[in-house]
Amino acid sequence: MQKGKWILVFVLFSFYQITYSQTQDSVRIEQLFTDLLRGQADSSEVYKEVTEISGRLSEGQKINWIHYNEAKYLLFSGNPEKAEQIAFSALQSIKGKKNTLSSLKFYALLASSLSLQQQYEEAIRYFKKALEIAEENSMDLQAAYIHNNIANVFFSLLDYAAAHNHAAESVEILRNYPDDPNYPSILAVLSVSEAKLDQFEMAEKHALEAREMAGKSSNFMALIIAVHALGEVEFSKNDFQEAQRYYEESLALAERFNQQQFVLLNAIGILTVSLEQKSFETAVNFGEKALELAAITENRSTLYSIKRKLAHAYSGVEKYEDAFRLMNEAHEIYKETNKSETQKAINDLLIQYDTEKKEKEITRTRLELLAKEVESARLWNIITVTGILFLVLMIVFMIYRSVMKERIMRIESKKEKDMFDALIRGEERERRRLGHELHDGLASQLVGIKYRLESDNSVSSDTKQELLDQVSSAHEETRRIAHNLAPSGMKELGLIESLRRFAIDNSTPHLSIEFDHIGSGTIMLSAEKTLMLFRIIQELVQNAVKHAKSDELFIQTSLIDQLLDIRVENNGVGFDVKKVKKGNGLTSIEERVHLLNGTFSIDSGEETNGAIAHISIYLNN
Amino acid sequence: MKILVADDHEIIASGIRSFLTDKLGALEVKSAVNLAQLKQILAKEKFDILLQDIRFGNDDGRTFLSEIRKMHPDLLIVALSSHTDEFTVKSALAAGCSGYVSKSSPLEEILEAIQSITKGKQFVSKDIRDAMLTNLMNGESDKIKLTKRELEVLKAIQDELSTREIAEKLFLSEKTIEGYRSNLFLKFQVKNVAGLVKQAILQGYI
Repeated sequence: MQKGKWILVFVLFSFYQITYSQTQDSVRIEQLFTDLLRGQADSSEVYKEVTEISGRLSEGQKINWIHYNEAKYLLFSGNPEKAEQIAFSALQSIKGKKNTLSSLKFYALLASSLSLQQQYEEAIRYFKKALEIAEENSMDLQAAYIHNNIANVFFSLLDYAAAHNHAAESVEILRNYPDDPNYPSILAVLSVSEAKLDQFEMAEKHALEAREMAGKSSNFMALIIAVHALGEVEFSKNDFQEAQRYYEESLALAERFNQQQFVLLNAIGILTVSLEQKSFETAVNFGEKALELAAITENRSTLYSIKRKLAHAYSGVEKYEDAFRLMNEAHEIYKETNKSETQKAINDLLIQYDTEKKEKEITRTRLELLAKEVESARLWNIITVTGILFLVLMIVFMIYRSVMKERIMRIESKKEKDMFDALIRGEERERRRLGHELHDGLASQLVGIKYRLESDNSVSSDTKQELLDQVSSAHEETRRIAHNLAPSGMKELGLIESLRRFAIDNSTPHLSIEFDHIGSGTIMLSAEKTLMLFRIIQELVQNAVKHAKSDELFIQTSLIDQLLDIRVENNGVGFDVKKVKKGNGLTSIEERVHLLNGTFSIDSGEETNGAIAHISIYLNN
Repeated sequence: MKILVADDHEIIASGIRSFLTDKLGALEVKSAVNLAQLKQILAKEKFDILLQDIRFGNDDGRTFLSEIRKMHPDLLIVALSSHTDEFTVKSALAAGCSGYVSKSSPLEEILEAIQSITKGKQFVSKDIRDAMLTNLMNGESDKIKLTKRELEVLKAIQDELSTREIAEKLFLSEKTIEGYRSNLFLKFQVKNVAGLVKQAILQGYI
């Protein structure tokens, strides 16, 4: 769920019903602006009457009564710039007059208008001034309100922990003033902060408490906020349906009492929960409503938030043109407002003014701001990038699959290689054993017999010679077989000389094996690999003699730039390569060549004589 | 003259012993079947000649011969082996043998060897000498060796056949023919067909 919902400064600033001598005029002025704010009076008529009253008032009264209420009205009706101007000039004119109460009021008002204009740094500065005055003069209630307002600023900064701290402080103070009309509102604000921090139980408890109190005292503002807070609680609990119900209730109340900022807030709430529930039609309706209201306040962050969400809603109902337009607009706002300067100012502000905050909290705020930025960037891309994302995902998935497949194949082929390797090693060991046995046993026996025969004078010299020839040839044959089984001096001689010897040793009057090597340089192959390669060539020769009935063979090797090429050419019976290749000794040869990281091919044909086996190995591997 | 025959096969040792006793008469021939026994005998008695089997049971004659020569500098050693390759022969001679007799050779060669080395000459079996000579001759031959197929391909190239035509003619794949072509270039040290044909004619292959 997307928690980082952009929050308006939604409890607009608690009323400063500061108890000072209330005259008829002051009450009337306040009444007029309250009616105006509720839409129960006409603007020109209100101003007409105010001007009338103004004539009877002193400069100080004008400021305290007219300017203050007018500024408050402007602030509440979404005109913080004008409210700021009035508050600022009021502060200028009461400067040095030691009118602490007025200073407090206007500082708070100024801070409120600044925070509505997203000048949070300045806002906190003036709230702190107001707070100082309140604390110096033990004005608990005022301190509580200001804490509440500071909490609101932190809501705007999405620092819910800090917001919660101030809201809790405010409620703590107000516990002593249970009859304060703002108590339920502030309690509701605390509830929202708790909901944001996922403290559901507390949040729900406080929201219900706030609603009950607001209902009893007919405090419509508190009721609106309390119901909204309940919506927030459900939203945090991911119960979007319930959340929507509360938002709708709060919105209806806000509309009834003409509290446009809460209509807006709840419309955004409904927009958000509708998106969560994928009810895009509803989202579009409320999004448009919110956009209309937000356009009046010109609150950029709110506009940005709404446009982004509305774009999402439009894409949900497949109105991509609208979605795209809104996304673009949101992006423009984002670019204007989220410049690094703004970012820096917010960060500086947090360090400079919020001294009571621990270092940890600051870091978290930064992180959240960063997360917000990342998230907004992500959302901006939703429409245009969804397709690309899908494609990328597909590609990633396919790559992942092929990588996995390859990995499995690699593991399998490694297993196979290892098994094959072990098999070859075992076979090699067996051959060596057999070779040595033949050599040491049978061959030596034959030599012994030969020697005995030579020194035996009891047989006729003809018979002796015949027997000697037979024994010698048996000895030679045994030696040849033994040597082929366990070639000696392979390591010392290297592949080329071993092959040369092999060709000479195995050539007979009926079988010609010729060997030739082109190129120079050492063949850099381990003794084990050399032996493997030697075995392969040996087998190719044996196959040619045994199966193809060849009597003329050429073994030709060449080494050029570390490319070792070996060709074994025979003149035997040709064969169709495609038919023979499978299930023949050739497969085993091919596997062994692959084990040496080489390639193996054989070329022959039924119409031709003989075959050419070709092995190619890059020795750098 | 005292001769010691060291061979792990009694049948061989006794064969040699009876042969030598028979041929040389007044002669003392003893035999040893393993390295320990050999060392023991040599420590006790002085011999003129040692006939040493290179593959002496689990020991390789070449590894201990230099040690024996050091201890008995006057002892003349003849290697006796069924290995006839150049490498084994050379390394045995390097290890201090004055002669090298192949077990495939007639026993008479042992006599020849003894006679040669006692005269201060070296001796190597005839078949080994012949093989070495052949190797030497082969190695120094300038003539380019061509396989049967190479010759066929060379002739086809001279007939101005294309790779495909040669492949069809020889019932082989074009890849194989390509391989032969580059091999021919390599062998004749030429870079193109024209050079190949020219060299082939000059060197009398076509």
